[in-house]
Amino acid sequence: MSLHGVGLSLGSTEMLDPRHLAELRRLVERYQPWVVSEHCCWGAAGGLHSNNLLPLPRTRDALDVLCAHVGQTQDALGRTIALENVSTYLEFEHAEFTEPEFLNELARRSGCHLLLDINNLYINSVNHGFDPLDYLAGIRADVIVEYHLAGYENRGHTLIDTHGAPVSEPVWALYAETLQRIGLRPTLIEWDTDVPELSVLLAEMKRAEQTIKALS
Amino acid sequence: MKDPGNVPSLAELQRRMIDTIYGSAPDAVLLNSIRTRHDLTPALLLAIYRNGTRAILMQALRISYSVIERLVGAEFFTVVATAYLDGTPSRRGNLEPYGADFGSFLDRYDPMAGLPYLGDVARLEWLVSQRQRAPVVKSLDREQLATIPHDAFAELQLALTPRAALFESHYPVFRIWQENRDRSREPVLISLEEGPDRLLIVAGDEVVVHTLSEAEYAFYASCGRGEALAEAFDAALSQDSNCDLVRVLSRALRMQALSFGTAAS
Repeated sequence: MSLHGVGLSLGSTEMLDPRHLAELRRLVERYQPWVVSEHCCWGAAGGLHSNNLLPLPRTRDALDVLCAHVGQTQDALGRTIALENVSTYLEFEHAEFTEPEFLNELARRSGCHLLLDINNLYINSVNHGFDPLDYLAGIRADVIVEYHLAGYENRGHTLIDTHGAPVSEPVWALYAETLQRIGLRPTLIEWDTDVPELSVLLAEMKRAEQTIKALS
Repeated sequence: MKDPGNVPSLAELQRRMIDTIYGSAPDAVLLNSIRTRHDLTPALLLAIYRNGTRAILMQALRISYSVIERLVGAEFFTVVATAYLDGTPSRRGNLEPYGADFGSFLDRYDPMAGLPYLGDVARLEWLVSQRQRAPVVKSLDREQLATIPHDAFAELQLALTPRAALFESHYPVFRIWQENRDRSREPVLISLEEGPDRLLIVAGDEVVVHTLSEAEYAFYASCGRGEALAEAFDAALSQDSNCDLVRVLSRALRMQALSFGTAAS
């Protein structure tokens, strides 16, 4: 079992919600999951929560905040957590790092692991116009503990991460590339809106297994 | 690259962005800090996040208030929920508490003035979902009750378990809720004259809503106020002097609604 959070808002400049952290700790103690993961993003400011995965400007300041909060979370839970790359629909002018640089530095400073969402990587490569293979070449493979796959919606100008569609062909291809370049990791297929018949989900799982088998 | 002199601090950027997500027009500092992508302006890119948050909060309301949605129809529910979320930003990373006061909002929402029972139906839906999430504690049983010395019985303090709740309405909310929980059920005509309702909600493996007599309701309300068993019985008798107290207590045990109160535990 793995626990995957969306609400800690690790990249917010505000202090972490102690109630949320305490609830998460109780859950972790109760279920003893294999991995606890959250997102490399922020979601709250001024006491308001977006309940959304908002993009961080990849600056030194943002890295400091994120590292402090990841450290606080790991101390509270008494274990290492994994941080996931999120889909983003905008970028900031004053970014100081590429995303692989930012995540590598986060892992080095906080000791956290990384969760590589290959759908998010593909979405961002299309939305922001970069080569996902350069990203794979730049990110530290040794700290990646899990992969995610999911479906997106193409709105013409932007790919939106929806978790409500089959994994797309380019994402399957990028998954195969990732397995070759980074190696085999436990893989979760996320599908939590417009959930289809079980047979459709099982077919997606089979496709992932076939992609892994094709490697050997 | 835009003018680097206008780079906001991280805290400032986040505050401006969350304000935009909750409806304020984005200001120049925020817009200038966002990279234009293809022909998409920063304002349009921010709108993707604004719409995303609204969709998430709307979905949370739909999940919590599926009976209300069936009663008013999906289209009107969207209108009502939009009006609610315009004035009710989320205050926690955990979405579970979002929508807690939706019933009170419906009471005040003018276009629904002709449907005065909706607020109570919403409060009942909320109570049902909240009881399911409450901690599980062992409810009082006959064996435990038998351990109480006879002379301590009158002073015994009982309380509703965290997974039980009382609810009272002028309207027949139990039938309205029951008939509309399942979307595939044919609509039925319910007269508002069938009310009032006095209900006890108990979450076990599933949530059961029990209808109570006036005397039973008074008994549980007294327990809920922390009063001793003798007072709770008096409260029941004050509503119905012929009330069978043994039956009231036996039913409470069967419904697994009570536990020892603070003084007895």
